[in-house]
Order: sequence, then C-alpha cells, then structure tokens
Amino acid sequence: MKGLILKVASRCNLNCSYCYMYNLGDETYRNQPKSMPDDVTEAIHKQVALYSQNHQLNKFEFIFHGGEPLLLSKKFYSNFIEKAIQILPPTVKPIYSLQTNGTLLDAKWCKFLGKKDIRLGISLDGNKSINDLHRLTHAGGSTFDATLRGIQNATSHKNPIGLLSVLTLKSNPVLLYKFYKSLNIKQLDFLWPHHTYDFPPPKNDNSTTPYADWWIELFKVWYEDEDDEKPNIRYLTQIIINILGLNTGFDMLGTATNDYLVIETDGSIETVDALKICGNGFTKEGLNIKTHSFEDALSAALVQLYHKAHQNLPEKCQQCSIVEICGGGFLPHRFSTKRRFDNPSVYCADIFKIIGYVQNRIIENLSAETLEAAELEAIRTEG
Amino acid sequence: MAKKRFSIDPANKKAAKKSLDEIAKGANKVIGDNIQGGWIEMLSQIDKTKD
Repeated sequence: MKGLILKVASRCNLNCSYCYMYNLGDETYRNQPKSMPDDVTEAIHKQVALYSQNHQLNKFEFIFHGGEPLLLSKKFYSNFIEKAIQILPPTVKPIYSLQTNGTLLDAKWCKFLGKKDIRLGISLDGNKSINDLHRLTHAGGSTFDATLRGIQNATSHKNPIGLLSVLTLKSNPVLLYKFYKSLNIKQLDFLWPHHTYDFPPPKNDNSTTPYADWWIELFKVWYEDEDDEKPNIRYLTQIIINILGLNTGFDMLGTATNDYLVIETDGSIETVDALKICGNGFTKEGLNIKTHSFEDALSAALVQLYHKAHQNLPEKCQQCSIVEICGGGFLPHRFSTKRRFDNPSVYCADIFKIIGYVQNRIIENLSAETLEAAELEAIRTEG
Repeated sequence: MAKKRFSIDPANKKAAKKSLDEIAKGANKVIGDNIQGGWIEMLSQIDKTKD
C-alpha cells in the first residue's frame, strides 16, 4: 500500500449531479460524522507508523479528500501534520495532497497549503457553460467564478496544482484544451463519467464510440502541440507508458495493482470510493481503523477485488489483444447486479479505439530499427 | 522471428528506453517528464549499458 485517501469531510458545499459520494445512490454519508474526529486521526497515525515500519516504507501518501476538505479548519491540517512528524518513523517521508472544488481556496489557504507542502488537486470541468452543466451549488447556482478564483489564487501563490475534470461529450476537446492552457495548468486529468451496466452511459446518435472520438480529438491537439510548456494529460500519458511496457498503470489502466485505501470520517476502511455507484453501502466491509489493521483491510474481499482489478478479469478481457495496456479499465465500470464485475468495462469499445489510435500514432513516431527491437505491430482498430 | 506484440514486452527495457527517447522529443518531452514510479531512474541505468 502506498497511501490513504482520507475523507476528512463527509459533506460538501457543492451539489454536483454526477457525484458518486452523494448523488448516485449511496446514502451512508448520512450516518457519518461531518468531519474526521481526533480519535480517528490518532488511529490513522498509529496504524501508518506500524505499517510503514513493518513494510520498511520510505514514503507514505496522505490524500485529503471529501466531501470538501477545505470545510475543515487549518488547525485540523496543522495538527494532523504535526502528529505525523511525531509518530511516523523518521525514515518515512509523508507526502500530502488535497483534492478540492476550489471554491473556498482564498489567499490564506494558498499560503497555508504552500507552507505545509500540501499539493493541490482542483476540480473543474471546463469553461462556465460546461462546468455548470453538473457542478452547481446546493441552491443550483453556478460554481465557475468561485472555482476560477481559487485556481487563480493558487497560481498566483505558486501552489503547484493538478486539474481534475469529468469528461462530458458536450464539451469540445480542442476548445477545452485551449481553455486549460490559458489557465496555465501543467497537470490535467480527465475522469470518465461513472456508469455501470445497471446505469449505462446514455446512447449517442452519432457514434457507437463517442468517448473514444472525444479522447482522440484531445490526443491529436495535445500530442501535436509544439508548445514546450504544454500540460501533461495523465490518462493519455499513461496509455503511452503502458504501450511502452512500463506497466506503471493506475486504477483506470494497465496491469499494476491499485495500492490505496480509503478512510471515511467514522474511521471505516474502504476500497475505492467510486464503487459507491454500485449500491447503497456497497463499500462497507465492517472494517475500521480503530479496530482493524491495514493488513486486515487489505485481505478483505472488496479491497482485494479492487487491488487486483487488473489481474482478475473476465474471459473476454483475458482473450483481448490489448489487455496489458487497458487492464480492463476502471473496476466500477465493469459492474452489473447480475454478473457483478465479471464484465468488460461499459466503455470497452471506446477504450479499445482510443488505445488503438494512440498506439498507431506512437508507432508512426518510431524508427524502423526501434520498431524491430520493440517487436511492435499496429493494433487494427477498423474492420 | 519473435511474435509481434501490441505493447513492448515489460522485460525489454532497452526497447522501451529507445522508444521513449524517440517519442519524448521537443514538446513531447512532457511525456517522459511525467513517467512515475522510479522508471526514469531505471531507464537511465539502461543508458549506461552497451547495445
């Protein structure tokens, strides 16, 4: 295990329609404390110290998440970091990051986060008309201006930020790319909208693979952009890495294991939070940081399923020519009530097409000598 | 003749390194710069071995 996703706040000041925490069927947050109490943070520090020692780790990632983590006080984070310094073995370097909607990110927060060396991830889906399709306040108001202010504050205070967007087919990927470049964003990541076989992606009249078409447009404008300062796009870079056989992967792609656990405000130890789309209470396995070790948690059924999601694949994936690159995609997207996770991704055809396109383009860039040494041939994506 | 593949054999680090060098040129240096997980260090070691 590399780190923990800490759900330090179990509520949010926004009400995004696609949110897997609050708006896609899971109601367990209603019974959880609104913020993470001291006895839970204390147990986290103790367990991480023990785990790091037992597994001789030299670093450990703490990812502050929510809900909205900036609903908590700065004091919470100061205390957390101070306690971590006291209790973690000196050989373990803690690495901190925080995922926020950015609306509360004022100059004071930016200074504080910079001083504490907490890296920032900010969620924004695009320009105002795209962002406000889903990302709204509880009263239904726009969140765009507030988020943009947060991004500008972070940029002017030199906080390194990564931008996280949920892909929507209503956006134009070329315009979106230009918009993000205008914000001087260096790290970009796009999430596929969360869907399962029980809750499938809406049909598209123009294409059987509309998501691949969107990604391919983005890839073209990004890959061919000759600007030395262009952003990294995590998903696309990862496809290239996997084509190169570097196997670093993450939970959306590749063959690597998924090495993170989630801790909820009540201390529940859970697997990846997006699995909440599979049903109310789906991620609850009766594990708690106050009573269970990480080793206990890592052997729990659902945690295991997620950690080995790219190894334990349905028959169709095992027979597929690009399984080493895609790894079956993101586990929640394989779910159906009938067959559980014994399905290819609901986005299988799209994933195949985008990987095929990227692989073909990469091959075009290689010399004949390297291509021979790499023993590569082009994926056939048509016919 | 070796069977062709759609991705480079994970054991063939030398080919991965050569391919990355050819892809991550100019503005696409951003791709090489963002490879995580110790691979950059490992691939730099390959540079030191002779073909």
